[in-house]
Amino acid sequence: MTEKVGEHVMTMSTLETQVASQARPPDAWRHLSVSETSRVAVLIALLIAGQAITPSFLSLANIHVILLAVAAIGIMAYGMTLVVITGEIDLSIAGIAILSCIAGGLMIPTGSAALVIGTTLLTGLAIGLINGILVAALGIPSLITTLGMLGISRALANIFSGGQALYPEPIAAYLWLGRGDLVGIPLPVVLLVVLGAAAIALTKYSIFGRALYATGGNVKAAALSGINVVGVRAVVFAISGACAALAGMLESARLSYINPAGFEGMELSVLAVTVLGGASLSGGSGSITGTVVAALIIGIVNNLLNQLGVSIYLQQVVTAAVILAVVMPGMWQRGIAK
Amino acid sequence: MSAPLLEVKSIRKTYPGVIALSDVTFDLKAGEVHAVVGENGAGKSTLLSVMNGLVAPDSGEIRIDGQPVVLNDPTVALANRLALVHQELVLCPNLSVAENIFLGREPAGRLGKTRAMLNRMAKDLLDQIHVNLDPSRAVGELSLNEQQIVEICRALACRPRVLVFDEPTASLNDDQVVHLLAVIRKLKANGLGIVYVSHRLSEVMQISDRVTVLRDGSVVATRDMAGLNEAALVALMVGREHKPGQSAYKERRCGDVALETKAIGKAGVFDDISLQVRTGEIVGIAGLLGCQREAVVRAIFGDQSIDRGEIRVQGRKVQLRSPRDAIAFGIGFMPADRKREGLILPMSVGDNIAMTILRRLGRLGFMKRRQRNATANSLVRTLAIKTNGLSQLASQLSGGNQQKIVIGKWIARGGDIVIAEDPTRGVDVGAKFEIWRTIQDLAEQGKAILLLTTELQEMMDACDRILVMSRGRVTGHFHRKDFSAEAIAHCFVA
Ligand SMILES: Nc1ncnc2c1ncn2[C@@H]1O[C@H](COP(=O)(O)OP(=O)(O)OP(=O)(O)O)[C@@H](O)[C@H]1O
Ligand SMILES: [Mg+2]
Repeated sequence: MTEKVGEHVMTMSTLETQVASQARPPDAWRHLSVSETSRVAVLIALLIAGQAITPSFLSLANIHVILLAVAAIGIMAYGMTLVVITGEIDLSIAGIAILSCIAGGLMIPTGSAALVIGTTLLTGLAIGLINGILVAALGIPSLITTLGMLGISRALANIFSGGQALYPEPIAAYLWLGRGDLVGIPLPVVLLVVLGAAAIALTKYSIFGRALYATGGNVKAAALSGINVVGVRAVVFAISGACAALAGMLESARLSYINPAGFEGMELSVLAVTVLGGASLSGGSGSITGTVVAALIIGIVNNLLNQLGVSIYLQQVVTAAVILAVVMPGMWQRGIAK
Repeated sequence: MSAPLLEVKSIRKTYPGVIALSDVTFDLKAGEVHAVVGENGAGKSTLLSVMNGLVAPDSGEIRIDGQPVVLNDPTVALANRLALVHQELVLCPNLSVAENIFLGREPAGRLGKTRAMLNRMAKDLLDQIHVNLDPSRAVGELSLNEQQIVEICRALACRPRVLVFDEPTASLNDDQVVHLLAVIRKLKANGLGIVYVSHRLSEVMQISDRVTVLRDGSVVATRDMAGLNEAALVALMVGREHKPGQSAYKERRCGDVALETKAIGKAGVFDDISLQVRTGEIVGIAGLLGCQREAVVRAIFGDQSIDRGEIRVQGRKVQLRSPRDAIAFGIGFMPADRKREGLILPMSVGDNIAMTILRRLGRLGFMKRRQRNATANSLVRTLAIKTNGLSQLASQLSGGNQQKIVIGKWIARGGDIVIAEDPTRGVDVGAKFEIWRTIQDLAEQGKAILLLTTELQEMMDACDRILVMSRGRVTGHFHRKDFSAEAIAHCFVA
């Protein structure tokens, strides 16, 4: 496994340097990312198409349905975006989500909402921090660290729960997180918006945000400028872990059912949203606004296909096609695809 | 009369907000060295990139042997045997010196045999320019200087007819420059056409037959080098009379010892290095390739560990586990390698300058925009950085202007001890003088400055004292009144 990954990394970097040696601006490949304009254009086109297909598309109720459907994936994608900006990747989020929810779920018999919710979030934060320490302080590649963590947390979730689902019915506050609303807006949507705003403030207007992009843009130069590059990476993994736990909790609450085998493959959907949002996997670029737009695109496409009664398999095909449609123009613009 | 080897006609290239080249015409004959000079951001690198197919011009024509060609790709340029030595080094860090030199042109054969053959061929090339470098070493672990040599060999290896050099000597030592110039003369005698860009005008005067001067993207003049003196050349570049910059050096009073190392050593790299820099003092470390002075200053900045000896800052013994520790003790480091160590290229000019002072610019964790912009703008002005604005990406600046940002971000920080590694690398004549004056000013403000340069003369102009290193040890120590190029050079090989 390790060897395989090493090999992959090797070919990636030779490819990169070959492009560089033909020396187009050497960064062209590294900053392979989705162009802002094509992303927004696709979103607008989808809104228009949606309204044309189903007149109730832009009704408040349907907007809530769309946002509710992307709340969990969106919140996870905020964390993933921060991680990807630093040039790392977090494949463990689905595992973190499920293990945190199970850990929290084990507190259900206490009857304390604070204990259940607190345990869930802290578990996510703690696993994320462990990821961060392994990657940042010990220098283990994040691909390997988080892939390992994915397996471990899934296994632990099964062990702790004995493979049985847990039911948060007795904890009203817990259920409210997934099903309640605040002034008529579903709570997951409120959280999606509030956390989105916080993440935008963090990335765009805070000094941590500058350190974040610097670490991803050139870790050596950042370190030589006095940026705490170890700290930055540890923090983004911790945030990603907490986001995963929260998203997992919202889903579990909505379904009122904590499934130790849930969120299968969620990390890839989240990664797709992040990349669609313009974050480049080699770090240094990406934005929360891009991720938000990308999440909306995915949400709207699925919503429309649902309304049209398209089968789930065809939905996956269409979603992939939409991602390509958004990614390609940006690549042509940069002269990468020929 | 046969057509020129290479002709570039009425080339125009614009970037958003800048005209990088406007109506530029240039030609190169076989067997000549044609220099291109101009201030930072004048358009030299852009012109060279157009010739090499790296950058597509908006309009204009390129002819090789009188035949129009479309260079839409560097491989086309290579097929026309036109090779470029980049200003910004583009090498594969994970491959060896030999593999880099012959990348994409590897001779066929069995693997083991090929490697030995590659190494031998690389060795031949390195010998040609009198460099002793192990061809099997990975490029990632080479110093900037060594990488530059690999870059030059790579261009030589493709047996070009037209060889284009973009500041090939910016990070070479004086002796290496001499060898390179000798090689260029030989190539020229063999009938190659050579385009040569450099900010070291004495070099340009020595080697070139003709010179084209660019200013703000336009050709100001194309002249025969014979009959042109340096002052006239500079006047053409800057567009006004240029007073020959007298040395910026000022007599200063030095205070207490600010930085001291006591017999520091690192196994297999350097040993027994003791030095002192007092407040208001500029101390240089001179040495040839492989003398490990780069490693010594990195150790002082906490970027590399030491296994022996101690480092003292303001008289206090300190443990430097990372650059952050060193910065906390008031040490700043301006690295020569702006691309790898100095800048975050995908970030803006403003962000890069603010990088060393993020803490100071924060209020409740938020960036104080106005203060950041004020600080950055004032540095852009003092250092005359040519940029569209603070939000322009650092990657879009010309090489010399990038270098100025590396200086600027540490001036912004304002620590008591400054380590400057080749602060004027790739900087034009006017700005060079400004930077030297800035460094003298810093010393005058009471900062202790440790200086590394590739040109010995520059170091002798700027420093109060010079230490000489050879193979990881101090081999000489000179006070300003005893500076002599011969005496210092003597210690290089001691
Ligand atoms: N990709 C780009 N985007 C925007 N502007 C650019 C880009 N590349 C170069 N420029 C601008 O074009 C102008 C010419 O740059 P160029 O690199 O050719 O200068 P130069 O003469 O080589 O300078 P130096 O001596 O500093 O290397 C500069 O003002 C620079 O900012
Ligand atoms: Mg240049």
